[in-house]
Amino acid sequence: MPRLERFSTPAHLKDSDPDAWSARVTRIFAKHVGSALPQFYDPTKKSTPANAPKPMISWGAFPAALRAQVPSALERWRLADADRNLQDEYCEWTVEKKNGTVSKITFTTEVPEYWEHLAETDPNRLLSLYKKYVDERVKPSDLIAANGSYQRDNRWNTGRAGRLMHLAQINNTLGAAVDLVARATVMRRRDGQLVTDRQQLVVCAGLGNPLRNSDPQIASAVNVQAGLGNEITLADPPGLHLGRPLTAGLVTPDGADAADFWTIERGDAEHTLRARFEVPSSKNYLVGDIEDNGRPIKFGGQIADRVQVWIKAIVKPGNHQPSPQPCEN
Amino acid sequence: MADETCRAFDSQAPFDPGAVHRLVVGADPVPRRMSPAEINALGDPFATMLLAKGKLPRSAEQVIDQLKDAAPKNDPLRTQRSFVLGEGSQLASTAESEGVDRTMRFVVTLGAGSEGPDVFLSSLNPAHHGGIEVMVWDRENGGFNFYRSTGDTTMWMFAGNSRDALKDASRGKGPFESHPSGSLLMKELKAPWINWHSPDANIEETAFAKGDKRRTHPWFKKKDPGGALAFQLEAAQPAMTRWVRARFEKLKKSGGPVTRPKQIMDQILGTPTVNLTTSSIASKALTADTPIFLPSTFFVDSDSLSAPPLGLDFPPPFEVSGKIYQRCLEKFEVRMDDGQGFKQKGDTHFCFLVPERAFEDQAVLREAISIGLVTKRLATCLLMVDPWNPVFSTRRQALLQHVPVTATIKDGKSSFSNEMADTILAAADLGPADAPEAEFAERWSAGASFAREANQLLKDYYKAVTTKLKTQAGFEPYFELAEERRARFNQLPISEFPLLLPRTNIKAKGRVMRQDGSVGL
Repeated sequence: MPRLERFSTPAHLKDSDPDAWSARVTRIFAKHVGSALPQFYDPTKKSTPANAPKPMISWGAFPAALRAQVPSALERWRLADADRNLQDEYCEWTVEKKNGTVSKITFTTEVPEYWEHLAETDPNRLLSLYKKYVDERVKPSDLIAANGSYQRDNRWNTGRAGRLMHLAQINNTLGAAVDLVARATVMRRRDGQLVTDRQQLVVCAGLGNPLRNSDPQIASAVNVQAGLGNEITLADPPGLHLGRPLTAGLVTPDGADAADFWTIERGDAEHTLRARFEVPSSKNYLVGDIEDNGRPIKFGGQIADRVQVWIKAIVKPGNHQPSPQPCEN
Repeated sequence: MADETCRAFDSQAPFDPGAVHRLVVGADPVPRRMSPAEINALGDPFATMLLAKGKLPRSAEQVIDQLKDAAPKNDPLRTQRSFVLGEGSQLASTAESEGVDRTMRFVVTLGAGSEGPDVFLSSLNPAHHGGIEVMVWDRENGGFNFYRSTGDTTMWMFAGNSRDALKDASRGKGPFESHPSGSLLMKELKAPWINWHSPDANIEETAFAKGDKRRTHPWFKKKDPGGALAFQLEAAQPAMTRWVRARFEKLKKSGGPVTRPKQIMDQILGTPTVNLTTSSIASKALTADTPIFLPSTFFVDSDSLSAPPLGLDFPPPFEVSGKIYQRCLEKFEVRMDDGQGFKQKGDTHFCFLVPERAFEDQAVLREAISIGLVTKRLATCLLMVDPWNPVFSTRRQALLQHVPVTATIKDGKSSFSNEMADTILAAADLGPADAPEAEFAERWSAGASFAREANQLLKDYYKAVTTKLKTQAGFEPYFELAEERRARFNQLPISEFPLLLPRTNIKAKGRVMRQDGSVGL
C-alpha cells in the first residue's frame, strides 16, 4: 500500500471539504512525527505495506477509575451519568427519560476536532446536525462565538440529560489519542528494568490515568509492538469507535433480544461513531423496563458497562532498535 | 476406590474411539457404550448434529469447525468467539520465566443471543485430542450436557447433564467437582479478571513459548478483543443464569414440591464454590503513594446484600495505602512460586486476590426469592448472621441443619421461610447466647425493620474497618485473613494451578473477621 492519499473523515462521513479535515488531522500528527518519536509515523507521509497488521485495541466505555473506587454499583452509575467530566474513556453518553423511566441512552465517540472543522468549513451543516440529533431549538450563536470560533462546551453539548452531540470531556479528543499512541512508542525503563506493566508504563511516561481502561490499554498495545522494532500509526479513518453493546443477559419484558435496541445514528457497523439504545416505539415498554441481573435499567452507566470502545492501529514491520528511556515520573 | 474426581476421565483406557460412551462419575462405574437411542435423547447440538450422525471430531479444533459446518446458514451456532487465559499469562518474558508452565488455555464459544452461546469448549490446545471439555446447552431437556474426550484417539464421553450435579450419586464428582451446581465455571467474574486476556490485561504471544504453534493459531490471533469483559457479560453470566432459571422454571410456573431444599440453601448459607476477585492495581505499578481500593466483597457479601432483591446499603470504599500494602508484601514474604523452581517476589498480577461469593450462588438466591421459597426477610436475616465473613462462614453453614426437609410452592408462596425461621428460633431458645441461632434470632426480632437494622449494623462495622485500614497494625490482620481465605479456597477442586495464588509465610490458624472489624480465631 502506498502512502495514504489523505485522512478520511470520521467513519467516511460525507463532508463538503474533506481535504480540510485531512489537513487538520495532519497537523495533529505533525506534533509527534520526527526524530524524537521515530517509531510513530504519519501514513500520508510514509508508505504502509498492504499486509501490515491492524490490531483492534478495545476497552470498556464505563470509567474504570470510578469502577475501581466506588463499590456501590448504583453510586458509580449515578455519578457517571451526572457528570460528563467523569466519562473519560473516549466515550460519553446522555440519558433521556419518559415520566421518570429511562427511554433512550445516546452514546458518542465523535471527537470535538471534527465539529470545529465543520464550524469552519460548513457551518450550515453543523447547525443542521445539531438540530437533527440534539434539539430543533439550537441557534448558530449557541455554537459559534462572536470571534467565529466553535464552542466545544456549548450548552447543547454539555448536559447530562437529553442528547449530546460529541465528546466534551477535556481528555476525550483525537489529539489526546494520537498523542498517547505516539508517545507510547517509546520504550521505558525503571531501575534498570524494562517497563512492561501497562499501569506502570502510563505512570512512567505520563501517558494519562493508570486506572482508566483506555490509556493503559492503548499504551500497552502500542508499546509491545514498538518493543518488537515496529512502527505504529492509527488506521484510517483515525478515530474512536463504538462496539455493539454486550447485551446477553439483559431481560426484556417480552423476551426480545436487547441487541436489537442498538441503533447506529452516525457511521456504520464497522465504524460506529454515535448510537442510541432505545426500545422501538412498536413495543409497549421502555429501556427502564429491561432488567440486568434483576435490576431495572435506571442509569445510562448500566449500558455503558456493556459498551466497548475501540481504536485501530497499524503495525508497520520495522527493525528499529529502541533504546529504553528513563521514566518521567 | 475408583477415582471420582474430574481426572477420572484421564484414567480411562480409550476403549473404542469409534463410539460415544457415557461416564457419569459416581453413577457409572466404568464408561459404557451409549446406544443410538441414548445419544438421540441428548438434545444439544453437539449430540444432534455430530455424535448422533457418527461424526466424532478428533481434536478441539475439529469440534468447533465441524459444529459450525453442520449448522445451517445464518444459524447463531456459526458465531464463534475465542478467549484465552492462563495463570502465568502476565509473567514477564524473561530468562527466569522461560519454560514456566503458564497453564495457557482457550475457551471457545459457538452461538449468540440473549441467553448466551450454546456451546462452550475448553482446551489447552486446539490440536489436542484428549482432555477436551465441552459444555452444550440441551435444547430439549434444559441444562448443559458435559462431554469429555480422552486418549490420543479421542474417545468421547458424555459426562452428565447439569441436573446430575444435584443428584446424590454424582454430586461433587467428575465434572461436578468444579461445577458443583451444574453451572459454567468462570472463577474471575469481575474486572480486572486476573488471568484472562481482557481490556485490563492483554495476553501477548510471548505468553507462549517460542515455536509454540498456538502463537499463530486463529484462536489466539483472532481472540475476542473484549476478552474477559465479553466472556463475562455475553457468555458466563448468561449461561449461569440460564441454568438457574431452567432449574427453577417448573416451580416458578406451576409451583409444587421443591426437590432437596437443603441443596438450595447450601448455595445461600454455605460456600460450595467461590469466585476470585482482586483490586485494580497491578502489582508492578504499586508504589508507596498508590491508593489500593480493596474488593468490597472481602469485607461483606455486598453482591448479595446490596443488590436486588435485598437492596441493603452499599459499603463505602475500602482503601489502603500502597505503603502499608508494600510493607505487608515484605513482612509476609509474598511471592509467586510454581513449585518447579520458578520464584518471583511479590503479589499476583493484580494486588489482593481473594475469594468472594460465587455468582452462581447469588443467582440461586435471587431465584429462590423469585419463586417464593425464600422471603427477603429470611434471606437478609440468614446472610446477616456472621456477615463479616462473606465466605467460608462456619456460623452460617451451621444453620443448614435447620432447613426443613420438604417445601412446597403454591401460588408463588411457601411456608418454608417461616418454618425455617421457627426452627432456628426454637434452637436459639435452647442454645448458648453466642450461637449462630441466637444471632439469627436477634436479626429476626427486628420484624419488618430487618433491613434498617441490618444497614445500621453494617454501617458500624464499615466504620470500624475503614478506621483499621488507615494503619499498618490495622491492615496486617486483614492481609493475614486474606491468606487464610485463600488457603481455604486452595482446598476446593477449582484451585488447580500453582501460579493461581501467591505464597506467603502466613500460617492458617482459623482466623475470622469479627463484628468490630478485628480479626480473631
